[in-house]
Amino acid sequence: MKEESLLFKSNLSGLKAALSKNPSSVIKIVKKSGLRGRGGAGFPTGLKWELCAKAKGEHLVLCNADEGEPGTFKDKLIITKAALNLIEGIIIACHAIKAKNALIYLRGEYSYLIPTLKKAIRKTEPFLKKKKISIGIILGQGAYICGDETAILNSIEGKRPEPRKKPPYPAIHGLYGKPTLINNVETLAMIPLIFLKKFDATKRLCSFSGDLKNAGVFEIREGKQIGKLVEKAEPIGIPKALCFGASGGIIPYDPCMPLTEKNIRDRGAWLGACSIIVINHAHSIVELCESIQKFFVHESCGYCAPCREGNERILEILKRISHSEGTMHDLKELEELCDFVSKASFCALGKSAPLHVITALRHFKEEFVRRCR
Amino acid sequence: MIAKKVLLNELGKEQKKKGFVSKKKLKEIAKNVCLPESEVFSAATFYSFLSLEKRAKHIIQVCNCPSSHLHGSDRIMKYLEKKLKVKAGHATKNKLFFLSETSCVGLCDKAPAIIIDGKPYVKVNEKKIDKILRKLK
Ligand code: SF4
Ligand code: FES
Repeated sequence: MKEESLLFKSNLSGLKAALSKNPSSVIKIVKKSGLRGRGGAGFPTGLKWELCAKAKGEHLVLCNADEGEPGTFKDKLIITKAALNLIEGIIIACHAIKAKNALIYLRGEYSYLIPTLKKAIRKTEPFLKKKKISIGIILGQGAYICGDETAILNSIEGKRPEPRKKPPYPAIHGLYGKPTLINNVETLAMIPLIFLKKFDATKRLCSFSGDLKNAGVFEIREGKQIGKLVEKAEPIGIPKALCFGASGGIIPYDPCMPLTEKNIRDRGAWLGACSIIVINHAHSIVELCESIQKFFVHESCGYCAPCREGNERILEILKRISHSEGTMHDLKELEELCDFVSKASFCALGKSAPLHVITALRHFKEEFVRRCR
Repeated sequence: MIAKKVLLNELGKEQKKKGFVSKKKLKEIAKNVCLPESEVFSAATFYSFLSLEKRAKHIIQVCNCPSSHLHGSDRIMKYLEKKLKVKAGHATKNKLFFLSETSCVGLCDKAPAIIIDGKPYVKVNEKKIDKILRKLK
């Protein structure tokens, strides 16, 4: 599929249509559309807008463009090809919750996209002036945890970007204590399409990578057979497993499985930000887990001990097993540790960090056992 | 406007300009953004893009996340370590290169990816690396 054709370009028409309506009807329409957050958690977007609009104080809109989940690059594509859709979405959100200030938190790795964003902002100048809205850009400096909707607030406030306890939720008590509406890039880019009746809640963008010749972003429809999608991306070798980013888990490849959140959940994994990494038979699941675990050790913010220490220990054991120096006792300890870290960690990062090992042990245990003494 | 006084943007600008944020500059920035120096230090030392001392002239970062891993990032790292005679996480003796691993940089569809001085290089292999490094000397 051509990437250009993935997103319908609103060209300000969605923005105009939305601004002609009053804020409460805008929220109603977004609610009715069935749009849910595309960052991973899947919270109903319209409901979030409504909660935030009702909160007292100066409202803010924050676009989370800190796409950092390994295997994910769809937000980059949206900004590159359809930045105007995103800016329109931000302005519509400002209109709906009566915010005058909006921020885009862009991941540092995407700094080269700043001119593209600025150009799109300039195109909406008349609307921004009329509604007295300003949109600022904050550039991240390389920290996965800032994708968390409370850590991002601390990051912007100049504090160490550790997550905050929820509740209170950012929509009520967010940046500098103000009600802050946080949505990610893909979610906001869909907003103008809703007002043009071009939005389809059953479709979403998916980043495909791994052992593929034709890796890239594809638009997928919920329920389509995964084999058909993978074929389109031209697998290298014979696919063995699918991995949903670093935090979504690993499941066996079954070409006939319809791609639904439920099917993935039933196998112990999680679709999250819709990133699918295809792994072929030439690659070892144990080594893949080791690589993913390194990521979590590096990105754990260090605030709570289960995640900070537990993930280090998980990595040590994985390294031993991967070097064929592990024992069956290690394997048992690995299972217990993963269970502990996923239950005792403070935030979503720590809670989901061991999922790749848990699912790998469920579906590919023999690969681990084979390397143990 | 909020974005004008954000610590992260100030630190990022200085890092980009000088390649590091000096102690003196850190103090200055803390004053400008009205935050205590200790808090600014604690934040600045958190981010992998920021450093409080100059690491080297060129920073090479090799993505080690799943998609790059599947496309041989381990091999790329070993090649660079051997070629530059330096271990990941360290600078070469002549301070020309600093070699490090990095988390996914969003170029997974063109893996393996490396970043040199903020510029992405995709689908790298040994030959490509030789060519890139020759230009950097
Ligand atoms: S779970 Fe990990 S990332 Fe989350 S607060 Fe604890 S240490 Fe930080
Ligand atoms: S995994 Fe290497 S760029 Fe994403």
